[in-house]
Amino acid sequence: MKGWKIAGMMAALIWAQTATAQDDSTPSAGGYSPYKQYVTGSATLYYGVGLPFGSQKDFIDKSPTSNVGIAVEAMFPGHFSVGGRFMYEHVKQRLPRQVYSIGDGSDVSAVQTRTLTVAPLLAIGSAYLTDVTATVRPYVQLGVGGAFVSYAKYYGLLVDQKQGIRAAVAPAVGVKFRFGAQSNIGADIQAQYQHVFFKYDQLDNSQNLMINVGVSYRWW
Amino acid sequence: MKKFKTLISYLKKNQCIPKLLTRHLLIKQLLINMKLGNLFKRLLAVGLSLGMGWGMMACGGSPVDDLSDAESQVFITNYDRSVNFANYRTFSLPDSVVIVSNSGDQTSQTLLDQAVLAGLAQQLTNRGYQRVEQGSSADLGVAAIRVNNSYVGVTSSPYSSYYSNYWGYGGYGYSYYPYYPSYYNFYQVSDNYWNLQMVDLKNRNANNQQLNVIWQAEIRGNGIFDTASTNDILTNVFSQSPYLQANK
Repeated sequence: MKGWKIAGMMAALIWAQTATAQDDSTPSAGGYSPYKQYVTGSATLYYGVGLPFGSQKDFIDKSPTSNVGIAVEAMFPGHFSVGGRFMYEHVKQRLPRQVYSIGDGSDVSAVQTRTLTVAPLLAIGSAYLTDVTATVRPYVQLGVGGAFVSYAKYYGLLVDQKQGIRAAVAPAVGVKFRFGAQSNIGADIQAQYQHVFFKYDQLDNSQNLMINVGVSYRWW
Repeated sequence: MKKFKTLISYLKKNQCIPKLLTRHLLIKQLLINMKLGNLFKRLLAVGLSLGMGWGMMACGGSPVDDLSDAESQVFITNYDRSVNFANYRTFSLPDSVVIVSNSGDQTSQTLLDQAVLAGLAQQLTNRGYQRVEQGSSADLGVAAIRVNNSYVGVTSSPYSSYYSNYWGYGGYGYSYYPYYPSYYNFYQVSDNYWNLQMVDLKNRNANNQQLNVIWQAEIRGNGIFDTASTNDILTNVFSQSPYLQANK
């Protein structure tokens, strides 16, 4: 019974301490900052370009430029954050009329239109070199999750298409900035290797080096 | 919000509010944070809208909507690898095309049909084959077939009925039907397209009543029924079939 009382008192003490800390949470440049005390939030809107390689470059050697996305992260006091990230990436390439020999022995003369859409939804974790209150925060990040992939190769109007959801991994390095010590608005520049385990026809896994820039907002 | 924080700070500094009240105030603070959260939600909504809009831009229309008629056209050819086309000299080509549809087969002689037949004859003549009068014996039987509308589920011998008397002379009548080796693929989609084919009349198989289809072409896409584009289409089809060449 006594143990319960002590536990109750300890809980009350922690409760009170938390309350005290919360109420004193005005951000300041030099001293106290809520970002150092609590788990805070950050949201970033991204735009990116991709540099395909491997079999994806064989399929479409054009850089994906229609890449947008959003990340929402819980920023821990100190040097870590976790969150989720959604990207939408689409690329299309048209090849002039050629004759293609396909598997059954047919020769197919067509203008080919190739499209690839990749939409990864990743859980992301980041480790930062600098403190949560720093205005410049270099980081390394690992993203793991799944991606919706739509692969299409059009011969004229005829299409050979495959869609599916596959596993995806995306390690990244980057730098987050804030526009001033008191500002909640910032930017993010990152280089990300994105690997999606999707195999069909010419595509033996989707591989891209993504260069992403983002505008971020943080709150507490 | 600033006043609110100042008030809490003051009360706490003077230790004049019980913890429960502090907790109550914290709930209020949480509500304030939620206002910021609403801003985040708006950002999220904007982001998702952008993403969805982008996606709809990409997915709303087909990626091939912008193809011209000529660019949309697809020419698919295949042939029997065991055949030496130099061993054939003559061909028979009727003066009508076969219309294949769900409602049955018939023949047609529109201006378009005549243009296709004339172009087909010209291409074969250019390759050294000699056209014979309808009803005369020939090495090759050539057919121009227009597949209409929802004719889907094409199987291994889709055009049997026209063989009944298409080349118009005795010996290749009702009992013969085409034989397609397994490497001929028929794309089973609802579409209107041309099918050109060549059967081996010279080496017809009397035992099993088969006429081997030794070459075929499928022509698909927009504008393939325009008379003006007939020559370009046939030129493409034959340029990808260089093996069609009679001995000179």
